[in-house]
Amino acid sequence: MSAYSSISQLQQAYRQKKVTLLEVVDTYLQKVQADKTQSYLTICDERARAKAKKLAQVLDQGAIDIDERYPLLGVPMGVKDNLVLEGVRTTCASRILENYVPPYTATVLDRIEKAGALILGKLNMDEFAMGSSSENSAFRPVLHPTHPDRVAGGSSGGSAAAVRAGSCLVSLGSDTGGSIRLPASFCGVVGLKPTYGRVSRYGLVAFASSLDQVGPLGQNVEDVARVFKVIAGKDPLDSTSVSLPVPEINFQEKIQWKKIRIGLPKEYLSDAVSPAVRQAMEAAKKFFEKQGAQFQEVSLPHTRFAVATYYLIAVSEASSNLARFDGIRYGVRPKETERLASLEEFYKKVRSYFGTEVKRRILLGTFALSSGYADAYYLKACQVRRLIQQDFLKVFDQKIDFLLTPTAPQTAFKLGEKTRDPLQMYLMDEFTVPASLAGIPALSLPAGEDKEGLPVGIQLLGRSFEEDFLLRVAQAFEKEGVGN
Amino acid sequence: MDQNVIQSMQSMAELARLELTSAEIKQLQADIKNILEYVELLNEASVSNVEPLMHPFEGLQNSKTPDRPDSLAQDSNNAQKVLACAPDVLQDGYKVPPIL
Repeated sequence: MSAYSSISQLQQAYRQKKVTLLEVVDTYLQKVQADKTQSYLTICDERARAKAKKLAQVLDQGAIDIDERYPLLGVPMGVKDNLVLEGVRTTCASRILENYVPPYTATVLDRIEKAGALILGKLNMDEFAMGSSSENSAFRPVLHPTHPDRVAGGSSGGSAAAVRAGSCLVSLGSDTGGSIRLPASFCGVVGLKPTYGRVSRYGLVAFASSLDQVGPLGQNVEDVARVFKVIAGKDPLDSTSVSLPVPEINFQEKIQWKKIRIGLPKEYLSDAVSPAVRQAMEAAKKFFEKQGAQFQEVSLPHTRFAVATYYLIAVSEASSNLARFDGIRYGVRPKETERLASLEEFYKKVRSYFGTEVKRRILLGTFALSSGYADAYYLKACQVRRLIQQDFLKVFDQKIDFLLTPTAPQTAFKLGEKTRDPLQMYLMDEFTVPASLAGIPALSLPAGEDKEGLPVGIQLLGRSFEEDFLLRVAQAFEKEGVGN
Repeated sequence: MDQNVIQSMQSMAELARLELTSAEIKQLQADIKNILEYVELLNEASVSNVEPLMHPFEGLQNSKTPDRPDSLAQDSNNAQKVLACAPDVLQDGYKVPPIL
C-alpha cells in the first residue's frame, strides 16, 4: 500500500473499499516502527488497532456521513507528548514525567478521536516545549527527516518530522513562540498556530499560559484546515477558550485577489535572513502579485524587542507553571528521597530531574518575577508586549489583509550547532514570537528549498480569528505557487 | 551587568527548589548573564504610560455560562484513578516526607 498524500485521498480509498482501517493502521504502525527521525516517544499500537476495529464496524454499518460526523475517520495521527491521553504515558520529553500515565484526556485529543482519528503515538519534542530544535528532549533529539545531520526545528520537532517522513498523515503540536511554525518550516510541512483562545488548552501541559496554543501540522493546507476545524471552538474546561463560532473553510470560493492588500513588514527582512529565504520570499511575492494582489511595505517598529519580551514573559510564566512538579502527586520520586530529613531537600532531589534548559528558564523566570526585579523585567516586558500587539493592530487597521514574512531567518541547522549558546538558539524565533505575543493566527507554508535541498518556509500572519482566510490564501499558494 | 544579579542566581535556585551542581552554576550563570545583557535592549523601548499586557485578549468578557466542573472531579470514583498516578500513597492519601 502506498502512502497517502491527503486525508481526502485516504477517505476516498475507505469509501471505495480499496483498503480497510486496520490495514491502514498497520501500515502506518510499521512506518512508526521503522522511523529514523526519532519522532516517537511512546507508540500506542494496541490502542490504535482497537480504535480502528471499532470504527471499521461503524463504517460497515454504512450510511454514515464521513464529512459531517467523522471528518477524521481512519486518519493516522501523531500527537505531541505534552498533550495528555488517558492511560498512555505522557512525558513532555522530560525525565521528571518519565513514568507519568495521566488519568484524563486533553480536549483536543478527545475531539480528534471522536472525529475518528487513530492516534498512533506520542511525539518527541524539546523538554516541556522549551527549545527551537528538539535537541532538548531528555531522551533523544529529533532528526531532520531528509537530512539526518540537521535538526527538525522545535519544539514540536517530532510533530513536523513524523508528517514529513510519512509515519503519520497529520499531527498535533503546540506553539508558544513558534514551536509549530519553526519545525514546519524546517521540515517542509504546513503548520498552523491558531489565534490565542481559539483552541482549548485543557490537557496541554502548561509552559507559558498566555502564549500556548495547540495546532495542526500536515502535508497540505486542506488537511491542516480539517484538523483545525475539529479542534477549534469553546471548551467549558478552558476558561480562556473563546466562544466565537468557527467558520466553514470553503476552498472552492475564489479569493478576490484584486481587493487583497498584503503587508511586507520591513523588519522581517533583516541581515540575519539567508539568501535562500530571501529568494523564497521574492518568489512568493511574485506569485501573489500575479494573482492581482497589491503589496505594501509596512513597519512593525517594535519587532526588534520581540525576542527579549517573549523570553522574559515565557520564562516568568514557566517558572510559575513548573512549580507544580513536586514528586508528590505524580511524576518521578527518586529512591534517594526516602531518607531525606526535610521537604525542601525532597523537592530539590525530585526537581533535579529537570534538564538544563528547563532549569535555566525556571531560574530566569524566578529572577524576572522576584521582588526588586519584577518591575524592571516582567512588567517592562508586558508593557512592550502591548506595543508589539499595537504594531499589528495598526497595520491591520490600514486595510492590510495579511502579512507575508519568512518563518525563520534560515533553513534547518546542524545538530549541536547552537546548543552551546542559548541566546543564538532563542534568536531563531525572531519572526515567530511577535504573533505569539500579539495572539494573532500564523501559518507556516513550504515555499521551496535551498541549494542543499533543505525546505524554506514562509509565514502568513492574519487578524485574530481569521484562520479561515489564512488557510484559503495558503491553499491558493500551495496549488499554484513556488515549486508547482 | 549588576554583579548582585549574578550572585542572586544561587538564591533564585533556592526559591525555585533547584539543586545545582557547581558546574551547572558556572554554566548557567554565564548563560543567564548573556541573556540578561541581551534583554537590557528593552530599556530602549519607551513604555511610560503604557499599560502592561498580560493576556492577548484582555478585552473579551468573561463567559457567563457556568463552567462544567473538571471532568475528573465529577465522579468520586476518579479519586483512585488520580491517586494511582502518585509515586507513593497511604490508604486514600498521598504519602509525603516528614515536614517537621
